[in-house]
Amino acid sequence: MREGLADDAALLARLRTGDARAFEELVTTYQHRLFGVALRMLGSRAEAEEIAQETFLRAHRALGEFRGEARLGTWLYAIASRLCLNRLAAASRRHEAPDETALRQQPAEGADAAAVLEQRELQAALHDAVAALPEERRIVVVLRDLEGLAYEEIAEVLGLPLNTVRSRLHRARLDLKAKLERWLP
Amino acid sequence: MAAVTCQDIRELFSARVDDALSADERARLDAHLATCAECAGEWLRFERTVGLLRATEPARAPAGFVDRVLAARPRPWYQRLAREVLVPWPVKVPLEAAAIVLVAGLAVMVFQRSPELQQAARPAAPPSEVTATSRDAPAPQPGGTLLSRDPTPPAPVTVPPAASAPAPASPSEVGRQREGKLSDESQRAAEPAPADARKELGAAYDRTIAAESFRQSPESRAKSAAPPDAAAKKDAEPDRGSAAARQSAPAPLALQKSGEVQRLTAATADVQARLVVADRVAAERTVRDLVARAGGQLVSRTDDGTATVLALAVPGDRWDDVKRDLENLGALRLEGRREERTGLVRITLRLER
Repeated sequence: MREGLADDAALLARLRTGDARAFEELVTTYQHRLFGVALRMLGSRAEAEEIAQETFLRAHRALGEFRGEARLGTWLYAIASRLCLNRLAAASRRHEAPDETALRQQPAEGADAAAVLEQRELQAALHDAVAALPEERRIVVVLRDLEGLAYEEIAEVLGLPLNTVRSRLHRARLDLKAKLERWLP
Repeated sequence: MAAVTCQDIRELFSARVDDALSADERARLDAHLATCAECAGEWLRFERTVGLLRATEPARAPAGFVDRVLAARPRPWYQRLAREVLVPWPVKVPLEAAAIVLVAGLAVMVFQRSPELQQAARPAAPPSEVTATSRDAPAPQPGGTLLSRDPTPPAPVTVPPAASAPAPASPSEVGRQREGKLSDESQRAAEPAPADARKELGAAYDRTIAAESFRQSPESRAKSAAPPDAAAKKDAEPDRGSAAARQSAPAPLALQKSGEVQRLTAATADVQARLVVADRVAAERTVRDLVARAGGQLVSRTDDGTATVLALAVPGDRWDDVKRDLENLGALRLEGRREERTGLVRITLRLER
């Protein structure tokens, strides 16, 4: 289980005073998470980096408008998710081939050839299954099962009712189960 | 208790995975799974699917991502300005220092070559004072070469009858007018009493020459020639018996501010003349007379024992007459006549044996 969003009130306070080190700290803390969301949503590392960078730059510009009651992480995920969904909605994006390695897992050291092969196949299947999900379900399962956000956080990030989040998450998991039948007991 | 369908139970799977079921829901699910093999199998596969997802290695942003974000971040205006001005500093800082030195050097050079700027930079001083001071600065007087105005010389000239001199003061007045800006207080204070018409004439000549020297307008130069001429015609006949006195004593026609006038006259003589005569004393007397008759004047006199050098000034329109008279006195050799001269002709005449 991955850790949820940290309470970064102190970091937020420093950001609001224009502390340059605070912004660097923010990027360092959230770079992998935002990049991960974008990568699983878009399937391309180059596009994922572009989206992640744009997320931080927009956050930097909009720090003054950030509402203190929301968590910094939630806010950043919201920006990144919106950017990803907008990108996916663009017609030009629909014909691009996804990055084959987006969800690939590195095999453990010392694993035998058969296990390595099986692991690669499983990761490819996972990647394909996630990529095949409808976008509104994909973003929910990514935020929940890959990023570890709570239901309430996902509802806040996506601006959705809690029940819609639950419903979409459940449908996404059922879709994935159907696609991964071969790897299941 | 209402009947629970398999579909109802399977709707709880997600919440069960996330440990989000209430105690009742959890009890109901567990009871159903214990009795329904199909739902139990589905639950295992569902739980395994989520497990596979969560086991996925977290993605990592590429190396250098943070630096790229920080570089792309818009900076505060003062940081952008400093960066544009100074970075890369090993190049820009020396260039900017060189530019400052260059501009400073140019500014100093322009200042040094612009008298207007220097004038403006000085503490305020009336320009008229500066001009007057420089013009009134007395020239060094070479000993013995100048004939200073002496108030009590043996009177060498006769005062013309009042009737023949209808306006005795007019030459002085004319001269003063000609003088223009040069009529300063010191000059006026040194002016002679108007009783001696010849002295007045001298003063008029003095001022005329001085005015000429200061390059007055051509109109004023033209005017300057006429009055002395007219006055000289009315002049009494010269005193022929006091030549020796004239040689030993300063001539009465000597000029106020004569140092400057003499210097300027010598420096700017129109004619250098050499006259070889048998008797220098007699010749000098004759020269003085003919110059006076022509409305001219003796400006200065020098005698070095072998030659007598006379600085003379005659009206331009009488110069030809004077020249002819000089030729009658002896062998005359001339150099440097400025033909276009219409005002005074200044002559340096060297009398030799």
